[in-house]
Amino acid sequence: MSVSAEPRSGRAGDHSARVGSAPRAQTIAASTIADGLPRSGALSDALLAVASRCDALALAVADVRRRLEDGLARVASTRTEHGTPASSAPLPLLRIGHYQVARAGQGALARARSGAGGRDGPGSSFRWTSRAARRLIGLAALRAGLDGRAATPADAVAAVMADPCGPLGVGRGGPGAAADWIASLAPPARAVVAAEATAWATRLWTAADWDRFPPDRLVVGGPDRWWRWSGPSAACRVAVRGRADIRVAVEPGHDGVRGALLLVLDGAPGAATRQALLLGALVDGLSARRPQEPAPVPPRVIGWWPDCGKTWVVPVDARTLVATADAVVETARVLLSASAPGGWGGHH
Amino acid sequence: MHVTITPVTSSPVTSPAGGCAGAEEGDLLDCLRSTSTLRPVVDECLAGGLRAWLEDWACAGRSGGSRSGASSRKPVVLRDGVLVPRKPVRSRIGLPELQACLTRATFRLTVTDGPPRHPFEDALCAISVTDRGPFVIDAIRRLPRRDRATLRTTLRTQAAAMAVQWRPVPHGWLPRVGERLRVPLAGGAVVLTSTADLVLGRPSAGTASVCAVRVHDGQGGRAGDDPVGRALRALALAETLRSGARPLRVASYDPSTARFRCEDAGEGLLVEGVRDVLRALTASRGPGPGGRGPHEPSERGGPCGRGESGDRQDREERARHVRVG
Repeated sequence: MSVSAEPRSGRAGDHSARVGSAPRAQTIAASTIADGLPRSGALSDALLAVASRCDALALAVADVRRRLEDGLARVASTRTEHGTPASSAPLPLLRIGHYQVARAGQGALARARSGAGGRDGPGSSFRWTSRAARRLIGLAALRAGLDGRAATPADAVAAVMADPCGPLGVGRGGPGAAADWIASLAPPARAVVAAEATAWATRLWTAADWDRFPPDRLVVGGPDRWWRWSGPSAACRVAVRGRADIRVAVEPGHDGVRGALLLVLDGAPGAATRQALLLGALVDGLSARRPQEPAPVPPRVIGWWPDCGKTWVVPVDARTLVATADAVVETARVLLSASAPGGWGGHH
Repeated sequence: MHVTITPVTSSPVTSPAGGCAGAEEGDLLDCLRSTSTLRPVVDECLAGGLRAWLEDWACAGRSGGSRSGASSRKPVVLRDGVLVPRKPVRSRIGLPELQACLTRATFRLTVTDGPPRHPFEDALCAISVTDRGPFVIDAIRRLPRRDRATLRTTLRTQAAAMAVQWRPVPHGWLPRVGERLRVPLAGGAVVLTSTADLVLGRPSAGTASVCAVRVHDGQGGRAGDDPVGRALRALALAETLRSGARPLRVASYDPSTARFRCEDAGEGLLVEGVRDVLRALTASRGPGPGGRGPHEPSERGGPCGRGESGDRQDREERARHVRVG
């Protein structure tokens, strides 16, 4: 696989970022994959590639955890100083995922929350749509296809939607759950949801050579992973979400470490995309049961934007984890400073 | 291959390449895929050359300082080869846009689930679960009764035409509806966007394999303009840039007139698509010294700046290696 350098947003080869340096000073390098045909070969290569062993990473994760906790305590207590009334009510929960980090990096989140409207505007609340559901259905369909239970993406989506709560489905039912929403759809709406999910699933289905992946190391979809924080004098709790559409399990070997996360994203990469991509790796690292326990951090995260055909391979190391932790703190600061007293709508 | 079919009730097909005889009933899908077993080999350098050509122009415009100040942070967006105004002209959704929404929804239902029994109601139901659904439905609800009746009647006619000319796509053809294409250039300073209402075929593994259909909403352009052709070129170009391989065919379908226009996405079409982009970019930058746009595309320009004769040699060279089905 030939790898070409992607232009960086800061100084090339900047290794000056260390724990304790100011946020926004770090840049994260990303490389693109080879653009030969078929593209699926290059993406599979990137997912299965071996990374050099990094014994210092586990130690770095401990530093990153401390840095993240200090940063969140700082921004959360800032809100308290600004006069948020203390009460006995449970602290609101601030959820930070890929979307929030990417949007905060572009400044869009602050603008939207300060009244400019848009998807993040006041009063906007989540509702299931064909677009919101396509990932969930598409991943379930891909699982069915890789298991040999469906021959085409459309067949697989039909199987998933026929029994959304079943073994091939999208999860348990319940109020607000995707499974219940799918089951309630009228036929025309159902056809549109199925068509959009089929389109999404087909892209991923044809994006990689799935036969090359050991079944025991491949996880398609799977539940989101969370890292939660709650400081003693903080005005809120924070939950950081690590999401991956495909996980190739981390496996140390004699020649290096294998493993990767793949995220399928809409549109085109933006300013804060690299930090947002690495959230999954950060949460994986922070989820170790004991701080000194070696964390199963994947050596790379791959972002894939089918709308524009771009693929970024972002290596995970101490420096990039620090930059990601800073981005989480910055996102929390933006959300807290822009939110009206009383919370964040659907984020409780 | 270039196929034009006009209207469904008249005598059938104009088919210079002879690939689509008898296509008046339910066979437009066959026009797209045709019966050829050999498909053109993709020149893997072509996508890179087109991108380099566009990037050079986009970057040159940016460094020329014509996009300075606060507005330079916003990208220049070209939708279907046409410059999108930075300030939206109007915020309310109009009757033509509503008609286009309903037409697209009906087309997508027809090619995935079969013809809808109640086109208007089914289209509204389908739209209701999309991101813009509540917005569109609210706009339709606010329409005067006469306009709503017009929408309903038009949609019924269109749905009848679609039911005759289209059938549900076999699952093995890997149908994708509503594909959005978004190709950033020059670090995101320029963005080319397009939408395909239906895409067929596996991603290219060395031969042109993807077909894309765009439902045309019947809105005309200026006299002498060819908005449908330009949208097709933009679609082919965006697909080539994002996937690294040119599509096999691109087609437009207008259910109001039952016109179907299908073209091979050859090099000529793609180069013309690039020229469309450059013309639009030049127009966005205003006139330069000497009465000519600062980056106006030269008649002799090409991916390598070698002029028409060089291009022709390249094309002839490539043609020797191309197996055409």
